Amino acid sequence: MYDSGKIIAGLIVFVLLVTFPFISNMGKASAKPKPSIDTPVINQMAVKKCVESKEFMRAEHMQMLNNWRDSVVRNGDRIYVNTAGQSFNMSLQNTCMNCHSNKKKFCDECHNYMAVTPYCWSCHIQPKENAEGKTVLLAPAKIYFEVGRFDLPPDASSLLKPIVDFLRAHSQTGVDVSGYVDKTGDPIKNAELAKNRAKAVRDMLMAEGVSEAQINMKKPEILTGAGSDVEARRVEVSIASGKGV
Amino acid sequence: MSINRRQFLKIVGVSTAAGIGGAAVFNGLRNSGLEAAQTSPDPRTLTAKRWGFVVDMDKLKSEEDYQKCIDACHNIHNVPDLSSLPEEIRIRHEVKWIWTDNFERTFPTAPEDEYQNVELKEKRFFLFCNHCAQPACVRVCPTKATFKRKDGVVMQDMHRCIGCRFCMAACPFGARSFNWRDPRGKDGNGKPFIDPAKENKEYPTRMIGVVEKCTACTERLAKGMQPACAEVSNGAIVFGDLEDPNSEVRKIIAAKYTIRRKPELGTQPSIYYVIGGGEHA
Repeated sequence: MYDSGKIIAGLIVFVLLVTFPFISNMGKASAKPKPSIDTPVINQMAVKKCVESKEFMRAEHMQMLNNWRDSVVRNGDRIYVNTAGQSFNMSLQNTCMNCHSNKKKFCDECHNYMAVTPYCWSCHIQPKENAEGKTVLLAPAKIYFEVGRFDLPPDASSLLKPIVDFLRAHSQTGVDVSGYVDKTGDPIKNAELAKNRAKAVRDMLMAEGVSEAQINMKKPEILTGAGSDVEARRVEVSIASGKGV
Repeated sequence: MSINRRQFLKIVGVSTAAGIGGAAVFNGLRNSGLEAAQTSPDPRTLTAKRWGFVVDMDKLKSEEDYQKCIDACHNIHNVPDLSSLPEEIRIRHEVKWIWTDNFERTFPTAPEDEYQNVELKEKRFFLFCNHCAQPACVRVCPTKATFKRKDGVVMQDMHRCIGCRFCMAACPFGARSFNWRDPRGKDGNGKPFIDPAKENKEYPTRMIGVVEKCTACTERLAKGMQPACAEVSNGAIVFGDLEDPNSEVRKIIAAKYTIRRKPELGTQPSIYYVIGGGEHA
């Protein structure tokens, strides 16, 4: 063979180049997607069932959503009767995302794995989620206190009302209560003060009919909250976690 | 191999039958339990042969009467508010479902009349999609994104709209707005066009590059509710079936003098304006 050295060297380079993506990714399989159904509404359900069976939804939800879209927009038919005879309002935003309020951990989990980017959410409003991908059902309530005091301000009851109403309706959903203080004063006394403020809010929640099991007293990592001193003297009440009690 | 006419016809016949049968089996397999029979309209849905509106100008007195209807509609449908943009951009990029204008611009083809009632001339008229019986926008839409529903509503399917704006050129009433900007975006000062506090989480927004307009609140009709503007207008906007002689809209049209916008164009608009006269009429 003429020029065998060049040809063999060329072949080796060619094979290396072609197999490079396989070699470089060897043993680094991406984790299998694990869509989570840990949301407040699903945790509430006695029998965790979607509109159709899990297997059907997994394989066909995209086709089904297309059919729903055409049915609602083009024909004005908004009720879907599933194979078990139950009726559902055909709505991505109001039916699907009402239960699956964790888009990041549910929808995106598989869509990212499959490298598909459906444009549903460029128009349909997705549920609010925090940095950890947990559903934020309600904006957290902030209750501000006077300097050195831990007795509740008069507006506490009205500030907490939406959260109290939600917790009463969803007895399986937990709530985080965190107390903060400003930068001034003795740190040891301040830690005690932050705790007392959180306790005052807890007692109020319980007086309003929220069960003790739902309340999670969460000590913040940094007691002196960011911002001005007035902003810092507060208790935060948030239903940010999808976890049940 | 030779074949006679009889054998040829036999083979053709058998293969045709097999082909039709095969296609049926294949279609049966494809159908994955999502037949049209499984969907139905909401039993609460308000139905009509042809929805229409009557706007009673006598009942629109203050600026507030107009604004509450506009706010109700625009908040429910997450219509972006571009009013914080510089004037010359706002005029071109504005998105509106319901708005107001003066007599001359509302009825530009009405004959000129120098002695016309000054009050009427200066009055603000409510304008929104006419849901025409012969809509020009529907005829020109290349994707059938805008179409006429069986109940007469001219509907806009945002999933199909490609943003060509033929419909905007075709509509003689200026009822359509193009999303030049991302409706979820912010102005120069960081103020979002859709106020997060007022955002209706049950209704989608639109995206940049689609055309939007009044949909006669089809999502509310499906729940048995009147369109938002009619509901908050205290009777200034009446909604009903134009094909039903006993409907409230038909009774008003029969009893009072009403006009429509540009009827000579033949699109058969479905908004009737009672232009007043009040107790003198």
